[in-house]
Amino acid sequence: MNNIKNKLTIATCSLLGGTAQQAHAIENSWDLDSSFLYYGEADDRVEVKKAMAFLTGDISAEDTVNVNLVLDTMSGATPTGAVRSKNSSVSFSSASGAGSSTVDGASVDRVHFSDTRLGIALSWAHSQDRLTTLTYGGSLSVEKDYQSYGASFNYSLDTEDRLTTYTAGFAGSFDEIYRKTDGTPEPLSRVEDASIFSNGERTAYDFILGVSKVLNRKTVGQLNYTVSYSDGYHTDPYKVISEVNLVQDTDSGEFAWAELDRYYEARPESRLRHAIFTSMAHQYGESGETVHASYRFYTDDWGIASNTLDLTHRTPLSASSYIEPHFRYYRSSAADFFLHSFNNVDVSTPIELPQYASADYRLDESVGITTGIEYGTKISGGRFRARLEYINWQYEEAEYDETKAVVLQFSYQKLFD
Amino acid sequence: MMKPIITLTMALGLSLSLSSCSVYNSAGDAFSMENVEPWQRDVLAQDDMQLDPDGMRTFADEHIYFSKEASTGGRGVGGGGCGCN
Repeated sequence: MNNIKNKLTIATCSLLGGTAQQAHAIENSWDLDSSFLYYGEADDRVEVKKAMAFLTGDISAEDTVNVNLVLDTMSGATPTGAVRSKNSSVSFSSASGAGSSTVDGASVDRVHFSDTRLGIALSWAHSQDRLTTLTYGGSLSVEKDYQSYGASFNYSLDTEDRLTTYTAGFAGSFDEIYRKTDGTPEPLSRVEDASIFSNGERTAYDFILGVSKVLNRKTVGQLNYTVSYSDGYHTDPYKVISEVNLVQDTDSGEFAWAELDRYYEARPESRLRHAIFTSMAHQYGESGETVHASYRFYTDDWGIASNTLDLTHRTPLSASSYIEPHFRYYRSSAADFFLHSFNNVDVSTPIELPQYASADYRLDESVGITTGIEYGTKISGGRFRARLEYINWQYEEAEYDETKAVVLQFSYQKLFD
Repeated sequence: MMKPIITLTMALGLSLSLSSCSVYNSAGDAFSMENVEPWQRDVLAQDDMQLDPDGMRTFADEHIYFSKEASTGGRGVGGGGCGCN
């Protein structure tokens, strides 16, 4: 009964697709993991409440199924990309169509939104023979202005000594993107008189090659390479970019942006991404302290390159509980087409628009730092975990140059033998 | 604004790395290669020695960072997107 699970990694990471696998894991037939997560940004920005349930079980000696359900409720305000100008001459009935958007100069740069997302993912792992596992997956994600459908296939092969596992995988997805009011605005058109096009569509193809290896009695490591190509609509239909002119306040003498006009953003119609990911787990000391470390190098043809380092250190408090600090560091360059705004020095002549432009802070040069701590304990036939984290992102040029967020998560996993 | 943060981060990361290393008898312990027989895999079988010891946490983190950062990928493939803000 446990043959399959002993060959599967404990995780279905990413957004529930095939993952590189590891040749040893938990020793039970069924388990139900449930979790509640709160994500909240400072300054009354985004707030997300996420409820999750993952059910994993053996349905035969060779087959394991996994059902994942996720329900997100999201609300708050998010930057549109427009400048925070008190001198805006632009007027709108709605900057985004994603709910209310006031036009009083002080808040047109943020839009309020409220949405619910339902995510479902299924996977089936079949043990082809003693060393080979095939995993088939499917996923669905639906919200008011976005739908995503995906399928994946993963192949993993253990060596005879079961110290090394090779993984190859493929996934495809189809996404439909639109505003709540339907359609997508014409890219780089003036917000005031933009034409509305049909819904955006995007297909993506992901590939992974990976190897995990037991290095010694207390260390296991992993190396993955993923490549992803997506084709279609990549623009955010809510994001805008301001045309501005620098003016001097007659009273204070300070310089400030005056917004002259506002345009919908435009991103390229394709994206090619590469990532190299390596991780390791190592245990040391008589009490069994465990270090997890991972590093990812990412690059794509939008000009973004990033480095991500992740460290956790688990210290047992007793035979059944632990405490685990977490540190994550992310640094990224900006997309080639990222702009704070269109700076029109000579207001008497119209600006010349580029082919692509976005003021989305997520495409700016940025540094993100996460610090957190988790406590876990075994209780009543399962395990409970609670964690609290603080994330700080800083952006080089974006109008909103900082995002501060807290994450609070409670999880309980029930094991059924 | 970013430079102090970067400096602080590098210092913190370096400190963490050094403190991690200091608890090893030698930094090479973690990376030494040896054959591990089936009866020697007790530590490797522990939950916290899995490469991803908490799939629920990883799933949630992947979604947060996918939504708020320009980079994604590396751990796996597939799944589903979202129109995240």
